[in-house]
Amino acid sequence: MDRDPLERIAESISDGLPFAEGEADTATGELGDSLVKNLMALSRIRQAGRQDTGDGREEILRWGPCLRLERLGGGAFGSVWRAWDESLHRQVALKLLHEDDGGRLLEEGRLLAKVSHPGVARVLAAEVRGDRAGLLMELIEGPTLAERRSAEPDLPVGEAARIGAELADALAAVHAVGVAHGDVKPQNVVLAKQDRPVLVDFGAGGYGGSTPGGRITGTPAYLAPERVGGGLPTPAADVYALGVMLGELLPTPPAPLVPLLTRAVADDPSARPSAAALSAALREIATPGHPAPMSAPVRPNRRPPFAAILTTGVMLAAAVVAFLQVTHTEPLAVRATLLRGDGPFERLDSGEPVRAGDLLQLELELDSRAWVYVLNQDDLGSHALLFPLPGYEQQNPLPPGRVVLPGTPTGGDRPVAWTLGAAGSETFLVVATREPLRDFERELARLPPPEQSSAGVRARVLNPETLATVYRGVTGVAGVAAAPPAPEDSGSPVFTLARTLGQPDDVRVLEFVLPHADANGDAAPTP
Amino acid sequence: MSFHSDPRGEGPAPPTGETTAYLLDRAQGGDDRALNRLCERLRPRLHRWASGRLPAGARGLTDTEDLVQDALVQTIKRLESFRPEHRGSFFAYLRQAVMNRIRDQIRRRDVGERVMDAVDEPRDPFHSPLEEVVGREMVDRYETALLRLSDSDREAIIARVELDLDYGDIAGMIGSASAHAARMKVSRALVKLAKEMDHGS
Repeated sequence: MDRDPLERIAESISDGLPFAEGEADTATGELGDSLVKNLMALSRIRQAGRQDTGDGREEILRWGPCLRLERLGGGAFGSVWRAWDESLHRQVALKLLHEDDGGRLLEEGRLLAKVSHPGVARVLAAEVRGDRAGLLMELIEGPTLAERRSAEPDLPVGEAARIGAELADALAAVHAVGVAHGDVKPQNVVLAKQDRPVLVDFGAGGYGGSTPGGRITGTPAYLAPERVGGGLPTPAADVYALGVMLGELLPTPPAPLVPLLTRAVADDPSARPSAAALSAALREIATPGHPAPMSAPVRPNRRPPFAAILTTGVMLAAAVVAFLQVTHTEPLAVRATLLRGDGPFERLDSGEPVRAGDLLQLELELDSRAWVYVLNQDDLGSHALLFPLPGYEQQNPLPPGRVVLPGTPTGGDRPVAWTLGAAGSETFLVVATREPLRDFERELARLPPPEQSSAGVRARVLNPETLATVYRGVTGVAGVAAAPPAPEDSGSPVFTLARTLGQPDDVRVLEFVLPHADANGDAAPTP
Repeated sequence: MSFHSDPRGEGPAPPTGETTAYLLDRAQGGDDRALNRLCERLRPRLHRWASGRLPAGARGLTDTEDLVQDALVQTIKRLESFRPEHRGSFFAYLRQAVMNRIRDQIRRRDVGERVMDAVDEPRDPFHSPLEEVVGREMVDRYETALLRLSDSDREAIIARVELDLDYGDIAGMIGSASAHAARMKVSRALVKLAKEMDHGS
């Protein structure tokens, strides 16, 4: 505990804790009279700025011996607070449940109190006060694994394996006392000092498993299939969640790990390995001096093996959903219209037949800054990434308002259009989000740009007259292309993946399926 | 089946997902609803802050509420000039806008006092509640030291210490990677400030 006293006091001030008199005396000895006076003044200014001063809200902000300082998170089950425990004289994490049935929580709290593991937040107390059950836990300070990964998406394999091994070990310790965590996810892993991963937030998923309203606790991306139907949290379901997380941490897992990781996310709970087995296998990889053979990386510009990408797809969708949990809840409003022609332009609805040589552009209207990804696939299975591509002025994030893609090549003065080849039906998939989907982008990087793809789409410069028309003729956009239900067999793995992205509200996925008129005469538009 | 977390939260946390940075972003994009939410979010904080800064002598001349509203509206009118990379200065800008209006009030009152009420107690006629708490000299030291900090340190302190925004919100505004990082940022800025207050006078 030789933390800089100045830093410690500054943290208390920032948290809104009053500057205790005794503390001031001690600090004066260490820091000097003048500096302490300044700190006390800052503390009073901070107190004056607190929302709850003097308006009777103090009591609401209390729970037993704890003064709630700041809400750290919450969900269907209740909320988690940074709190000051006046009896222990330390900051703690306080989890409060909405429901008044605290019996189960208390039972779990007692069991968890038996766990003594550096990777598990220690339970200090579990009790019911008034009508609220609360769990008092060690407060672990640090960024969450989710935050760390969004700052540094590509953790070195050794580091990722070490984190994974320590987490699996922590989970094994929890399972050993007969408790399941119930909500294992990167947001519930805090990286303490020296990047030691610590599992936090017990008693959420583990408590009860489903709320009286029938709502399932847990996070969809990490929810084992048997829990989707309302099953209770189990160690096997924790292993599933851990498996999904490991897939995110190790997108290209070392070869010896692949069978075990695949089993961890098996549909059948009994087929999954124990957390202890996962830990042992990961430790082998993490230990320096044991370079493990890597599984063959997916070659760029070639279609990755179906199974490989599908597996990654599951992981990827998981990562996306998890990421979205901490961002906006309001759906992005996006209107997309396919425009055909060289001017005048014709708006295309999904199902309208197209011909080889047709020029297409995509007009978007976005209600805020957004990251947009456009994919194309013909029915021969060739696919291409249409946006974003290097060499164009239009890049992510796109500004709010109207934008026409593919846009203008860098240094060029005229927008270009996509030209259709002589393939069968064409599918355009537009994914739009408020936040970049980094994992999805990595998948997209494996798709060839149109020029190198065998897909029937090429970029072509529009003729000069078009330029004027593009910006004159189509300002009033009508007709929103809602995604029609995709035929089961119409997608490449990346497409399958992209479609799953639309499940949370935050990612909009719009799909246009355009049959080729040349292929079988006049194709009838699909409804 | 709904997987959404229950938005009902207690305490000072803002509604899930609607961080100040997010609302500012939307408001900049012309979303009136977001603009209103942003005002709703900031008005009480600024009002409380201004109440602490407005000298007793100047209070009553203009309702603090009006002053804050005017500052908010004028600032938001200029929203377009806040590029995302500069939006960290949003709070400092707002605070300055309120502060300018307070100074205006004082100046006007000052003139009026001299003309109409020459016998008013000359000692510290513009005592604000905050000055009552820590003393005028300390407020001066605080203000002077604050000006000597970097923009981002100053912004972090204003957002936390004066406006009581939560760390998650502050992270979004000043570009910290996480709430934890924002907390560290505020604490370190406070250390610098405390030392700077010593050097100042």
